[in-house]
Amino acid sequence: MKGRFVQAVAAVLLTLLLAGCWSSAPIEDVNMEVGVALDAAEETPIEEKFAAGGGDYTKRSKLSCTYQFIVPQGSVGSKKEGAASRNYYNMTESGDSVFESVRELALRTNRPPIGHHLKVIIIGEKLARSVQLSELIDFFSRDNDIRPSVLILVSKGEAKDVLNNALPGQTPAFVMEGLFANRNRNLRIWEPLSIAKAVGPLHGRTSFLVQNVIAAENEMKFAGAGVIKGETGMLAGFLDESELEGVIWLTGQDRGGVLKTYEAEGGGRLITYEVKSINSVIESRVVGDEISFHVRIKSTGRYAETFDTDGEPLNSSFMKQDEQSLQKQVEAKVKAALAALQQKLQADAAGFGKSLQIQHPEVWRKVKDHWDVVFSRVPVTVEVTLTIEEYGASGTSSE
Amino acid sequence: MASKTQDRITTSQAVFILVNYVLVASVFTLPRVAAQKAGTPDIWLSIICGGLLFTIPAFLIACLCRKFPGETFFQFAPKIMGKPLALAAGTLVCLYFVCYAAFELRSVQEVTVFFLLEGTPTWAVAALFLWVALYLCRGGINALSRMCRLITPLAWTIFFGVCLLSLKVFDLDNLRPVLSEGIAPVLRGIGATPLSFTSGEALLFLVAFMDKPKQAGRVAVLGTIITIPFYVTSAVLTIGAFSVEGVVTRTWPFIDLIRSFEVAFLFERFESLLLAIWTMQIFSTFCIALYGAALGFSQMTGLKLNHCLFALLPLVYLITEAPRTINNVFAFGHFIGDWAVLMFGGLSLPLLFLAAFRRRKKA
Repeated sequence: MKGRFVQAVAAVLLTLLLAGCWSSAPIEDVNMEVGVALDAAEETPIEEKFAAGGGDYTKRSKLSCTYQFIVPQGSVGSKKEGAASRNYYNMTESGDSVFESVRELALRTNRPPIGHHLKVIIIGEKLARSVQLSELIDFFSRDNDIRPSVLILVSKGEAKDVLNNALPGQTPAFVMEGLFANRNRNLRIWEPLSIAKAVGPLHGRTSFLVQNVIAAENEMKFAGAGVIKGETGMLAGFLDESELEGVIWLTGQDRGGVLKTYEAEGGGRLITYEVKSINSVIESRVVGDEISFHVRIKSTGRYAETFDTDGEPLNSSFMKQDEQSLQKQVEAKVKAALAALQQKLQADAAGFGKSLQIQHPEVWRKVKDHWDVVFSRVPVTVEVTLTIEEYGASGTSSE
Repeated sequence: MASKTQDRITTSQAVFILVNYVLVASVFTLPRVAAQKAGTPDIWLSIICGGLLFTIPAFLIACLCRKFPGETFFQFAPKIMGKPLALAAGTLVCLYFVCYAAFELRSVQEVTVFFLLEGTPTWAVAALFLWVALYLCRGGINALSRMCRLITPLAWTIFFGVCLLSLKVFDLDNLRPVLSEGIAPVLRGIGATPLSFTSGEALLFLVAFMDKPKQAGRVAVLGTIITIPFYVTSAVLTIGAFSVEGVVTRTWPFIDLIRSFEVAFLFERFESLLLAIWTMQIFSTFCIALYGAALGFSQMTGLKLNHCLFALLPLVYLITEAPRTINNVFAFGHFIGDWAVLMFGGLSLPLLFLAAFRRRKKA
């Protein structure tokens, strides 16, 4: 009898556990942050009106944080047609602390912002040039909800403009994240830089590249890359699309894209080549105290367009000629990229230092403290081997 | 009591118990601690060396215990060092087990409350752990062994599965150059490994339950070596993803590694899965340590095992909550590592000699 009683009490008590999760929050009741734009401080008209009404607190105006929240599909109600119904909403707060600004939002919205689904952080040029990147991402890399997989981008211009622009029905933050998937289609996209990948170079004070994204009218575009200099930890300048392409040929990740050139001899015929693979090796050479680099780039691909109006057969000598024109084009792009990195920016963001460190660790130890300065003066030679493997479904063979 | 010591486990069961005992929360932090000490990417070498090094005291302890088949350290210690000394040594060992269990519980608390169950009070995590552990330990060594065998396939599959997925963010260049500054950083890195690899102390009572105590040495060596791949994998992958400079800035590098990628496959995020199974893994360590402590006290004082288990629970909880800040927690862990090295590394050889000497005198 007593056993029965104990069992009954235990069963009743155990039902308490069925009440479910301790700290659950229904998804309609939270504001999911998907993107954050950080800009040099500039209060929005809304904030100015709030401040006039007493909504102000002690702060040094340093940065403006724009948070992009997604509006859950169900809560919009009857969905309006066309571009008017946006499935995201942006809110801006200015201040000096990222954390304080996100908590300041708790005074403006009843749905607490949560960071579990944050995808991108975009930093405006003006802010990135004046504040260390490690300071700006400090909060994001420390928080327990925000993941180290969040991507970092810079924007030449105002970062918050980028968060305003997307094709109808799309959310800007997701578009930016998705653009990185196009790296097999276009060579002008730098590898995605997550917080996880940024903490190492920031702490080790080495230079690196960050994808640049710009806004115009109501669209956005990936446009080259920003260079974060190791020594300062701040944005030092930008590489344009074509310079970035040169760096990508240099670093040679297995990528796909377009290479276009004009025939060197003859009528300046246009040739486009679809890159199927790039493989490049940076070799460091040390003679005495002199450091130099030799980069071997190998690529395979196919004709995309030959503009061969005369109907010349695509025999091997013809293809050889085109290969040479294309190789020259790659060399020129790489040279331009190197000029930008060495002379204009004096920052090694293409991994030359790493190859010296791996191949000549004892030399690296001597120069690592002022590597960017040393790098700006080292000679780099480039050797490109390009193979046109095929010409697709159209074209004739040599005979 | 008597019936409990008649429980027998086979050699392979003993190996599994030992492996589960050695795999602990330090998988999460070892890459950072080792990288801070070494300063080069060679910490995976330090971990291999550390693991191999710690099989030596474990093997010596196994040799010692083998000489007294069917008896735990707490039972045979008086025979080699006399009653008062044995009581002191036994108490130290038991206290070590209690502190070790408390430290593991605290690590679980820190990690789950921060990453997994924000908002859940820490006592709730601890209470669940303590009461379930108590229930399990009452079942004796066979219950422990069965739980270890249950956890092992699950934990190993998920651990290595998640590790494979993390290759997405892996960059081999971060591990190069190998041995760029010679062997010195590797040796410095070994200093970070004691907390991860101490295994000998579990053998002090484990061997007594083995049906073939002659194979205790094999258990010691296998049990320690099997765990090396886990720690090496966690170190190699975190350095590969974050680089040495990055790893030292991460409080829980291995968890951050799993948080650094999203996979469009089934779960998308895997840290909850990993934390869930690793909590079980730590739970098994916790139970084994708690059982060891309770067994020690019960054999030294003659009290019932169950009573000792109940008496130890509040003590474990108090020690768990004693460190106030996260730095205190890490310092506590470091202290336990040093304690283990001193007690089990330093004392095993003299005890072995002493035992051999006493034996000969008797004969």
